[in-house]
Amino acid sequence: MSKKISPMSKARIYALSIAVVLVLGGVASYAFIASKSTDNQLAQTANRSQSKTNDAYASIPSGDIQRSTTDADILWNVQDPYYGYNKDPIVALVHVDSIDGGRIYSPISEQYVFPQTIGKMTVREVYKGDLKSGEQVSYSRPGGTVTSDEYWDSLNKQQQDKMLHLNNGKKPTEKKYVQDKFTDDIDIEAAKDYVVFLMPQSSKDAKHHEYLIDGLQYGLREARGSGAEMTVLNNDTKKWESLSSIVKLN
Amino acid sequence: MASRVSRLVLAFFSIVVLCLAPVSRAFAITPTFGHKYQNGVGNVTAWLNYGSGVGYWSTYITGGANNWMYPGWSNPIYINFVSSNYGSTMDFHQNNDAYWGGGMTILAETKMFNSSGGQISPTSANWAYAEIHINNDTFRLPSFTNAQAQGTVIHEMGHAFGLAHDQGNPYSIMCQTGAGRIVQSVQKVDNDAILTLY
Repeated sequence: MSKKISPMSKARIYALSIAVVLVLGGVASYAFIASKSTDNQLAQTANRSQSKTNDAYASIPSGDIQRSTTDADILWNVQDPYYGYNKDPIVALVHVDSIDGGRIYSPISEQYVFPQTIGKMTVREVYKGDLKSGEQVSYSRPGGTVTSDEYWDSLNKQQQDKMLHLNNGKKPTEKKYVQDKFTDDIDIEAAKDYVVFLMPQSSKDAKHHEYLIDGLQYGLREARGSGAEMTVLNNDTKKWESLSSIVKLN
Repeated sequence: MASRVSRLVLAFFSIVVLCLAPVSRAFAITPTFGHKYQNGVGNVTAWLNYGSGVGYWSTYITGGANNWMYPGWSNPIYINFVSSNYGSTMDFHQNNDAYWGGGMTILAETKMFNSSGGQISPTSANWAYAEIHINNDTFRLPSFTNAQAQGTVIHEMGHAFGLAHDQGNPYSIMCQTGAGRIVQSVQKVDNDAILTLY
């Protein structure tokens, strides 16, 4: 009772099968790409939200900040690519976990300081010095946002007297917060990887231990990739350069 | 004969032009913030916060003032030292290195303030007065020369007048020490920048 299939029908079946395979393959590929793209979007969104969640500055309304910049002459040698590597005791690749805010009184030196940004970072790789991969440590960096009251408290008596004199005995209170950073310097960002030049610092009572990110923009280089493929951002030229351009690799 | 002379003259001028081309490039005017002292520089009143210890560096400060007033080219700058900071427009303070975080990286800094004492950004507004802060610890480094200390004070005073960094020209006082500044006194490019501002 078997029914004989004609050569014409066979050809149709083959063609149909190939079409089904192609359609299924296409759908599967699309689903794979779409899921990958969704994964990427989710990862990017997660990074963005992580960077916002872990950035204490993000909660300060922009209109509440008196923005100012300070011009400095710095002791760095940009002509020597390894100046920072040779100068600072620790050089590492780190992931900035958080920006915990600004401060103008340092528990390390126990004195008022130029506004600093502080936070946590996780060490990814150590190129020089005494730090361990995977360790989470505290960092500080010149340039930060503090309340106007804290800023006022940090001024010496002569500075305060002058401002009171200029304002008929009142404190200048233009905005709730004051941001002070060095001209041309970059801002540290949460959820990013950087190659950093570090100075370990401890308070006299050893209760506080942290790492100063040294060298302003020369000591904070955003990093991309990993291993031999890693590149670091030159904040002056805005070009990505090889890690070996600033780190002596064995 | 006449054509030979004119050819020689032409060749001579071509050589002169070619020689001057790179020189003129190096002599580009120093950049400015685009803003300046709101009352000009004809009567800058400088005050030293002796309580901070900055008096130790007074030789460099008076030397810097003289260099800006008499750089070798005319300009409208006149600096007068005063004993009270109530009306002064250029205040000098001293800090230790811990003030800047303790990295021994900062030599000195300049901040600008409006007429009510609010700190401003010199790229966005004119200022009533400026503060120059000297890092006592980096200034005392054995490797930091007297000439560099003098140059740094002049550099900071240049900021107070409205000059920005010129990292591409080591022959400008406004090139940073860290960017390889070679000169330690006011240059014509710096004086020309003052003339564009005031």
